[in-house]
Amino acid sequence: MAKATKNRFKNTQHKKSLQLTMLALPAMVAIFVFSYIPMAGIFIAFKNVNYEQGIFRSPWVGFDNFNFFFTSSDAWTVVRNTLGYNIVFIAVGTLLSIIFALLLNEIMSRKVLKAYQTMFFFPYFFSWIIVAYMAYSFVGPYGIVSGWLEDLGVNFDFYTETWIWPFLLIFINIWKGLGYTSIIFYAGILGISQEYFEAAAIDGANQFQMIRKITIPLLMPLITIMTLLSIGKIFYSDFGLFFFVPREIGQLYPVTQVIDTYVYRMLRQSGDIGMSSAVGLFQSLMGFAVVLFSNYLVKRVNEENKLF
Amino acid sequence: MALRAKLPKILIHLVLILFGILCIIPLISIISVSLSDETTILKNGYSLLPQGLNLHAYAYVLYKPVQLLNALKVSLLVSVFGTVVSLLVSAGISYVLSREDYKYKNKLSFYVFFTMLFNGGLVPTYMLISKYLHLKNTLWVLILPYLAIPWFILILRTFMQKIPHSIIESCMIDGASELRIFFRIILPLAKPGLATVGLFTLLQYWNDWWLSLLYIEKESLVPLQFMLYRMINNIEFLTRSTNMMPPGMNNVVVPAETARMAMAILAAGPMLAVFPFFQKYFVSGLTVGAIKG
Amino acid sequence: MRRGTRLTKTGILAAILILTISLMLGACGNKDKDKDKDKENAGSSPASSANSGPSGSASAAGDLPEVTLTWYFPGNFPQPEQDKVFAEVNKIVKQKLNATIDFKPIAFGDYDQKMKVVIASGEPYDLAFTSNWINNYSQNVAKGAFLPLDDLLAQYAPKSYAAVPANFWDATRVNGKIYGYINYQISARTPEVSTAKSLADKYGFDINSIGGKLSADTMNLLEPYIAAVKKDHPEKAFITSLSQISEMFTFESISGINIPGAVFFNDDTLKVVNQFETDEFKKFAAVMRDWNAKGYMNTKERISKKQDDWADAKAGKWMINIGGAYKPGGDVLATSLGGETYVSAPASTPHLTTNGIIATMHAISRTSKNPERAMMLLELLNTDKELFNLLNFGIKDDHFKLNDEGFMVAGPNQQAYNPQVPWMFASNFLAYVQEGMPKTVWEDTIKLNEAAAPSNLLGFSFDAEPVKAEIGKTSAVFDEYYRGIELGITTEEKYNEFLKKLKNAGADKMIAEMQKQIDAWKATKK
Repeated sequence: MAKATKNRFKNTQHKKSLQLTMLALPAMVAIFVFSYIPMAGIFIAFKNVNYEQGIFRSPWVGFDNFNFFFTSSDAWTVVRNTLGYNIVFIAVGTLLSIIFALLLNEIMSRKVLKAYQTMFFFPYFFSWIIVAYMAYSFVGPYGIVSGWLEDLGVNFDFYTETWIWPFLLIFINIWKGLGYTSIIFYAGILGISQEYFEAAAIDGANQFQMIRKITIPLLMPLITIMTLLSIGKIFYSDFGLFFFVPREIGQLYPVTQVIDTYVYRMLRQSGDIGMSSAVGLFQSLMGFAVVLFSNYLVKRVNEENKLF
Repeated sequence: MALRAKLPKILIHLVLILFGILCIIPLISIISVSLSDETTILKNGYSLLPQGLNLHAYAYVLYKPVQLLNALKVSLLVSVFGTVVSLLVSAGISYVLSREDYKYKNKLSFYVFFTMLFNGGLVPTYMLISKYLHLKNTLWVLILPYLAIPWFILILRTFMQKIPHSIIESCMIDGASELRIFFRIILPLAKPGLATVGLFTLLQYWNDWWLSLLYIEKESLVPLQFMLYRMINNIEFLTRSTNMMPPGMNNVVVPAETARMAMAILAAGPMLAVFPFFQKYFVSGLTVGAIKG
Repeated sequence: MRRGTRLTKTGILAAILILTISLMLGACGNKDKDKDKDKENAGSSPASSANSGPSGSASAAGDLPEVTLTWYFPGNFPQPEQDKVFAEVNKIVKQKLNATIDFKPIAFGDYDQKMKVVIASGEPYDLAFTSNWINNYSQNVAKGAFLPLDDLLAQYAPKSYAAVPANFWDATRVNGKIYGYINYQISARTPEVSTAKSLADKYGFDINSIGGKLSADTMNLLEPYIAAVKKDHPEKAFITSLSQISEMFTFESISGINIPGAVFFNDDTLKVVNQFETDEFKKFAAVMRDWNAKGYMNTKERISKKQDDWADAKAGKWMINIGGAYKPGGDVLATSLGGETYVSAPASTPHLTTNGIIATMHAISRTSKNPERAMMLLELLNTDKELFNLLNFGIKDDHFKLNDEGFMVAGPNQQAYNPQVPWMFASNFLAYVQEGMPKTVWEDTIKLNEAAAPSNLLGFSFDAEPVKAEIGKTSAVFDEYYRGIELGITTEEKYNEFLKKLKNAGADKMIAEMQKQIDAWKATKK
């Protein structure tokens, strides 16, 4: 009798698992097809592709494709740009988001809060193409800022001056994402139990002390996760930002070319899929290594905050 | 004393208002340009306020908007259908991942989130889709690749983890199947999370140009954003598609600069209109937890 | 610790998974190969059946299995009513060849990049436009992207093969094989200089006075006119594009202007040089720099566009344009593109070069499942005047009309279909003569081809296979810099950086390879 129940229990357990697996199946298939199968294609990076023979029969060339990339003068530029921009994005972006989340947390009126959130979220709603139009309307040949400069007697052509673009791109990227990330942190702050603050208030702590001693420490896991996720993507860039906003102007490549746009242009301009795959693989591997390493570091400092 | 207490508050508002303005000014500027007079614009350049207020650009863009309407149709179809399916698919797996008692939870979560950290890259993906799946120039290629996005699954799963397990248990005791629990109990309870992720998914589909940049060359399948992209370089994509000036505007300069901005407004507009409906769920829906929760 | 092991387990699982997929993919690939074999076998059978009755193509349609042919081509697309016209074309093609064309018209600006990806990914298609200036012929041949056409030409396109002189076909040969089907047209090429007639009249500029005289050294012939117009019309600019003016220089580029490697016309020793390092090209870059400094280029507006197009001409932003190929009746084409009357002249003395001949061709893809049918389609397009003109000008009495004298004139609905690329679809000589052109325009063109001085290199085609990687890299470098050079914003320092990058990308190796092949070719000629 007891055994039968146990069996039945086991059976239902089994059935439950199966049903749950079924629920997850569509997503599993989608991920398998669009993420895992392409991983199998990384072998292209080691081939000298010839269309006559097809990709599978083309000769293996070992690390030639990688060599080609690393000996070119572009390698340094694109890696530097990618990492440089991302480090600034992560540092400045995270800092500002936390500050804005804290500021938003000080707003008591729900209506006002909603108004701010709505405004901050506007940029997030525009595609990069529309952002490119907006940028053009400020710094383009008829642009508003160009016009102001002209009124001041300065003839400044944004699309030929390289030095201005790092500033523009950093500004635009943070402008677009700040609303979104600050709300993630804001939601995190809301998740902190009020009891802590009440207790602190009784002890006579002021606003700043509460932020330093309660909010920030309790927000730390979220900050770490967000940062780790960004670091995992440190070898990737927002393609739209670097592709559309500087309008594919060759003159600006030294400061706007990142790995993603480079791979894309490699594919489209020289049709070299071996090398294009090689750079893609390098990017993926480096990203993976960096995130494993930083996760390891985080784990050593505080087991709780790790990503996995 | 009163002022000292208030000063930081004022400062906070000042900072927030300034940034808020910064967020909407670009929108205002393209609206202004789209409402301006073309010849004045060409002479004076753009400005924050419309110059010589008129609707020529819109009249021009919307006169015989065959191409535009078609692009709008494609965008709408892909966004709405894609969002509904993607949300169901993601909610399914998110729920499973949120279940502590699911046998393969850890393996499955590795399977999903590993793809956030490592991928095959552009070339293999392109070859798979174009050569082996033959999805090029189909509506499917605009929908399928975004069905299960790990980041959205992560957000949804974190949200679902907050649903008390006791609710699920009591349903199981009542003998409800997992499917039933999912559809009847979990989905309604996860509404804020679903609304948030739903909006992001909708945005993802609506704002996407990447898939069409790579996989679409058929005019009838060009979505709005891609049309807009092609107009960055070449206003002719617009002028050719309509190619004619509306009657009564024959003596006006072709409003190329202003029409472009009018197009941008038309492409951005629908999403801005949708936003308020989702907003009330936003903060509660946007919580992110560790991958291994 | 436990977690560690679990991760490795999953890792192993993932590795196995990936391995399995690779194997599966490999299997698929092999299957494809098998299919290819089948295709080859199948390829021979219709060939033999067609052999039995090559006479009337119309009757042959009945026996032919139904196929779809995918055709990629560039032009001023999309056109509003292109689908309507293509449907009409397909009606005829269906009836005559039992085939349906899957038209893939791509805008000029996108075509090159689109084809790179299509070819690289091995997608199946049948026909594509190829040339020395867009979708580069020799580079694609080197990568094995195209099928050799010798047999197909003899079997399925005898008429159009015979219509083109034999030395033209020789110019397309790479390692002895023809890979490109020539769209017969003007081949003695030099760029066309054109300007609006109203402007020329107003400022007393006689375009014929500079005709044939332009080179990097004599660009200043244009300057008085440009300066005068500029004063009254600051919105108008001098327009040119490097990829379109290669024939204006006194050298002939070997694998397209964007690839280092050129031989001077007057150099009998056929020494290959890097054209970007020649004094002539540097001079040209310097003139552009100077003109930009003088404000002739309207750089600020144009830099944010990849290329200049005739829409700007219609908007009154062009003053003088050097580009395209000078040909009889060219001013009529410019007029319809520019929206007002244009006058034109040849930029320099035309030479008959390999580049001129391979400037307009079609190729059949290695991935084509029906190469013989694709060739039949080429034959049809190049022999059926009505079909060609349908494609070219649209539907008769709607998009175009023929007047009493037989000249082509605009129809009531011309705006809806007017791609203006006759030389792209097929032999230009089949086109209805447009009103305003001399009646004998095509005969004149052929005469011009015959009269032109053949270059020393005529008949040599470069086999790019040994240096294809270098070619990819140098063309990427060119892509980064060319716009700046043609707009005159590239400083001398920047220009030297360009040269240095070309060197890094393997320019010298390519030039050595070119020299080697040319020397070998020269030896066989003697």
